[in-house]
Amino acid sequence: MTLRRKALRISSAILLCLFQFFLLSCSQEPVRIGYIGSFSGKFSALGSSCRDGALLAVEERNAAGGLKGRTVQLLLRDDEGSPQLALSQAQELAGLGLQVVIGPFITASAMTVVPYANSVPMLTVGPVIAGAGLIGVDDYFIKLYPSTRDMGVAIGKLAAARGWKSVSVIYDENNREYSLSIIEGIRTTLPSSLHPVAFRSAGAVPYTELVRKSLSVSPDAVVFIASALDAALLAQKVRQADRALPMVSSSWAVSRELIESGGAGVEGMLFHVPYEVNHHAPEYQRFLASYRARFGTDATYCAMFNHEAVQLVLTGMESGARTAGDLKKSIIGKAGFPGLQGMIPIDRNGDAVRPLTLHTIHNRRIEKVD
Amino acid sequence: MHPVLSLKRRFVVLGIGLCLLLLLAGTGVGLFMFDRFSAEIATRNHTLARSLSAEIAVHLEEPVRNLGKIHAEFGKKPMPSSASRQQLLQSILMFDDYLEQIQFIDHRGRLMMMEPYSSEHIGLDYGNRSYVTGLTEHHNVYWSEVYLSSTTGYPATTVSVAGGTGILAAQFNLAELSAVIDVLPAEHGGFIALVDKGGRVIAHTNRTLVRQNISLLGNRSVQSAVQGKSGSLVETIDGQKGLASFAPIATNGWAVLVFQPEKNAFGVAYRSIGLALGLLVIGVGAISILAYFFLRRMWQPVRELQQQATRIAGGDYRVDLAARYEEFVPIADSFSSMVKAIAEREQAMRESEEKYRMLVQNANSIIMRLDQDGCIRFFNEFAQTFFGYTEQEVLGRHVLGTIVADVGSAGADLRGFVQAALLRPEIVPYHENENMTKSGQRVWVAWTNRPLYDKAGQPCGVLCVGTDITLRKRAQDALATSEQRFATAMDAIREGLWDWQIENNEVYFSPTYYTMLGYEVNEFTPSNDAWFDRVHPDDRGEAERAIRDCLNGLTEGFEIEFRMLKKSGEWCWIGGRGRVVARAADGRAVRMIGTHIDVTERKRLEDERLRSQKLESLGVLAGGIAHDFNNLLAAMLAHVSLVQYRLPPGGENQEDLDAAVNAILRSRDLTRQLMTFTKGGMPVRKPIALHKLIAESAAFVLHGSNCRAELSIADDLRMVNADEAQIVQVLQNLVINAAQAMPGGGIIHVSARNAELAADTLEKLPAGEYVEISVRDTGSGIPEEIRGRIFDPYFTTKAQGTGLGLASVFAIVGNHGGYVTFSTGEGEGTTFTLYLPAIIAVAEEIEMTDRPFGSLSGRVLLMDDEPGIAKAIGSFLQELGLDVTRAGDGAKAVEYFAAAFHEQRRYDIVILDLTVPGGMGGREAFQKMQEIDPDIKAIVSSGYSDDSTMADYREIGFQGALQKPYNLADLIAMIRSILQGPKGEQ
Repeated sequence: MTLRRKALRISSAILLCLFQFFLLSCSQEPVRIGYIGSFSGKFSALGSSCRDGALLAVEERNAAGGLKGRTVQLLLRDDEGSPQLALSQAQELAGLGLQVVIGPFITASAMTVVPYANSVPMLTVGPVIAGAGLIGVDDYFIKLYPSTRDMGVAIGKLAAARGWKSVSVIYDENNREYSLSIIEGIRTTLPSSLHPVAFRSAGAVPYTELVRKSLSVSPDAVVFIASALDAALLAQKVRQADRALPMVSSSWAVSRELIESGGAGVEGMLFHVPYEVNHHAPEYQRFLASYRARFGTDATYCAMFNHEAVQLVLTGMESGARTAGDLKKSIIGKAGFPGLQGMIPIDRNGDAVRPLTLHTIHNRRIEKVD
Repeated sequence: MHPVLSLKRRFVVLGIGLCLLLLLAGTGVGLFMFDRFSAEIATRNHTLARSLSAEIAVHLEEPVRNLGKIHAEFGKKPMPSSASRQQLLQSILMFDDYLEQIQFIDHRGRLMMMEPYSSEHIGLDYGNRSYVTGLTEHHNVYWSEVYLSSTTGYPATTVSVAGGTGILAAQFNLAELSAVIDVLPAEHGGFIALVDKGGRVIAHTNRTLVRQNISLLGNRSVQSAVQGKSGSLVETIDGQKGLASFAPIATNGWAVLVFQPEKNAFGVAYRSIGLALGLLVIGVGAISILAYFFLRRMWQPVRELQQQATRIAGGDYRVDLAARYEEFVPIADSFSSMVKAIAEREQAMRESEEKYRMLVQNANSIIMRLDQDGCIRFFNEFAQTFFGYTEQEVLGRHVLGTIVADVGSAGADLRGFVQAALLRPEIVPYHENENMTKSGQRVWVAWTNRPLYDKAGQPCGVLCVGTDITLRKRAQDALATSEQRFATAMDAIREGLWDWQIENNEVYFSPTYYTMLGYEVNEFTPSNDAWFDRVHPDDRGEAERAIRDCLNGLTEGFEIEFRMLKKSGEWCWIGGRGRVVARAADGRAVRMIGTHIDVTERKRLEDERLRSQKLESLGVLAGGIAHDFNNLLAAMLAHVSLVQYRLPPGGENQEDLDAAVNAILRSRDLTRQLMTFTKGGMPVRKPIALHKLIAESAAFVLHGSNCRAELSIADDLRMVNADEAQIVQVLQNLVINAAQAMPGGGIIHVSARNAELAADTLEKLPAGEYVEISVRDTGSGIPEEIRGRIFDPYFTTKAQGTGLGLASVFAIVGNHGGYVTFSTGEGEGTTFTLYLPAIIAVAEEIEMTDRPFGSLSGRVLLMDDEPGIAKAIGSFLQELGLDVTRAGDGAKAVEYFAAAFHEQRRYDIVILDLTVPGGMGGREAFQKMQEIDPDIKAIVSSGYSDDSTMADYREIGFQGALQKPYNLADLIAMIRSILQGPKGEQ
């Protein structure tokens, strides 16, 4: 064989290898997951924390080699707390051929997005959607947060256990569906002695008047269904009027802001959350440390639930599911997945079953009530 | 020789090298310039970041300054009214576009005042808020984490300043800062961001991101910036690689990040460098092409010269060179002269070579030339004749496989040798080698080798000149084989050889000669003196005399035995033989050869045999005396016992008679002891209990000594089937030995117990039930060097010892089917332990001492050749009331027995002496009596306990056996038991 012919053959082999490598590279497209959240606007503080939790999960997975060697990509969309914007973004993501979207952030947005997603179909995963209207339905919505109604039931049971005959509820009319669902839950246990007092957080909130109204019926306890700042200030007003009256809050207000703005007024306040704030699980502790290192601040519960949502979706995709239907079957078929604080069962409708844990604020720290 | 190089190739390589060097240098310069360019761009970017950082710092200082002013106003004396203070807050808020709200909080954390005013908040607890808790004694200004304002949706922060009257906190709207940093030209293509300490975006050239509370802390540049570092680095942000410059803001730890995509930042640099490198490559390519054509033209005369040289090399010496260039004219002339000179020298060489060929071909030796690979390149006519190969057959072939075999006939590795010789011929200038002719015949050739070198001084082969030495070699081999065979024979018969050249006194000693004396071969110089000095002084005279006689021709040879000193210092016996093997014409011996053989073992065996024979004779003598003496003792004992019996008990003479009886019994024991080992006296066995026997034996021996026996005898100790007297003898000997081992006195521990031995527990003893008797002293122990001999007869360490004590013990115990062993240690005392087979059945023990002689009735036939015994025993029995008939031998006894039987006066008991010298003994007589009366009851007695009849009396048919001399009480007890029926059988 002449030298020239040999060189030609070697060159051909190299070119073939390069071509195959090129083809291989082309086939390694990223795995795309949609994300609709409220990073700006009224809910931006918590919304951006949710997004960061999801981002951290994606970054960790990519650092560990991705999904079967493919990079995971989170397509972020900001609905600015607007249900209409959330719907248009869901439509855009469906148009891109995405099979799964995590979000949206608030129940009102979910109520517009989920029906559309069911029609496509496109799987939606709600990490912190608490609206009761989306529970118990066999659709393309995976609900990872307990329903607000269950939270209300829990508050009702708490009242019964502590012997509270009469309870006043101060709730935010601007988050009506959320609030009314909780009230309905409370009412199942405490049907007759419930005194709701509504307000609108969109304008100036008359804290003093709200508290006066709610205390006028001499309740045994007062319940706040409001944001952290509003709940904090209402609590301070209640404390000014009655130093010993038991106070309960929905999980909406549970954040660092509640403690900072509430001062001594929120000490002893009770609330149910579907996790344990000071859980010792190594995965949870590792998550808190990673979040702190990555974003320079403490993780919120919303970050934790969004982190778990990404893990859930990726676990479902690991089985090879490509369509929304397959992905739904894969997730529900496993009947549960490993969350940061242990296994989380998922029922056949795609609703996570999380126990609610009673916490309180003590010495400026959130602690579990044994 | 230097390798031939291609000038053309060198030119090409040089050209390529120069081009590469040029490219390398160009690339280096390009990279250097690019580096400088990049640094310049980075500096520019960083400068922008730093200037923006400084500008933002100015903006941040404004609210702090305003809050400071408010504190100053609030602190004035007298304190301004509440309305005035509220008004002050209102005016500040009005004129400061960045501030949205101002709060005044007292030192308890209560909100005292706020603008815009809200009565709902006044009095609330603000003490937990970070901008209140974050203020410390050392930090009176605090910047809270950036958050998105609930009213504007843009980033905001709360800055608080502590003062004497309380804390002033202002909500600082940061939306406007995006305008501050929005200074990037369109071609920049990157972004500028302002981030807080957590990396959160406060301001960004992409305003959309500002409202999304994004954290850039995942990027290295931001991590460095929030740590207070300043600089530039290349990194990928949001999937885009670029230059990131960062600068911290000293006021509150925030930072400015200026990011420019790589293609924008370094685009110009890339393009410039690319252009320069392109031009460089084109230039180098053009130079290369021009150089190629120039060199091609320059090369033409050289090519013609090369063609001429090729023709000359082919033998064509016609030169036709036309120089095109002036510089080549002298070369062409020189070339023509050179070709002429070569032609002349070639002719001279051909003639010289012919002479040389004739010389070599006609030489009477093998002449051969090998190349470095070992292939034959020249083979002269003699070699062809000698090896049988023609030149055509052998030239070009390797010596191995042609004239040299791979392996010599003696197994030598000729291949290896040849290869080594080829590699370095100078190390084997001469060698004798086995070769092979074409027909396969092995021949020996002495080779002289000389390495050959080429003109460059490199080895190129070997010139070998060989001489046929086959005949000489075969003679040498035959001689060597003969010598080897002789040496092997001498070694096989284990004889040392010596060879003495008398005239020059040279001596040869064979290897066995040395090793026989314990030396290494040639460890001492062989000489006549070396032999003489080692001969025992007592044997030298005889040895010298034998040798001298042989040298003088008085004897043909000599054969003597003498002792020689071994290397170890021991003496060994040597059997030496020698003879003169060569004499001079006048008869003088000139060479003597002989052998040495070690006969030490044979001498030792001879000595032992002699000693054994002596002992045997002594034993026979002692045995005979003992037997006779025993008979005398028996008579004495019988008579003394008779006298004792006749005298009244407790009389004045009884004590003396007792002493006499004891003395006789002790004499009897001595003779038994003597007989036991001299003739191997067999035991007369009966079941005996050992309790009393042990106690009495120990007490008897130790009576009056300074030793005391401590007994430990198991209650359930089994009986043994043994000769009581012999066992007593054993026990006494052991106790005596123990007492003698403790001259200062002490305690002798005597113990007896049952022992069940498994097989192999003790050598020679089968598994079974035994009685174990131990005698332990606390003396000095038995020295190690004599432990192996203590049971030997006549071996003793005592001045008055007989050497029979332990020998008897060993013999007796062995005869009983037992075994005796001992353990000792110097200074630890000695324990003798003997094992006797135990028996299960318990026979009745005759309690002689408790039974008075009493009166008896019956007829007794007593046969004993010793008249004294017969008389004394007979008298005694008669006095007891028995009717006794005495007979002097067996025949007489048989006669009496037959007569009595036929007369119906049969004897109730017959007592027969076993041995009657010169007459019928007791056994034969008994057999005859049995034929007459099968129901005969007889007792056998003898002084020869080794006779099997004494040991096996029951099997033969006797009712009992008594060993002489026996005690009359024993006799009476036996007679009584026989007369009383079967119960009395022993």
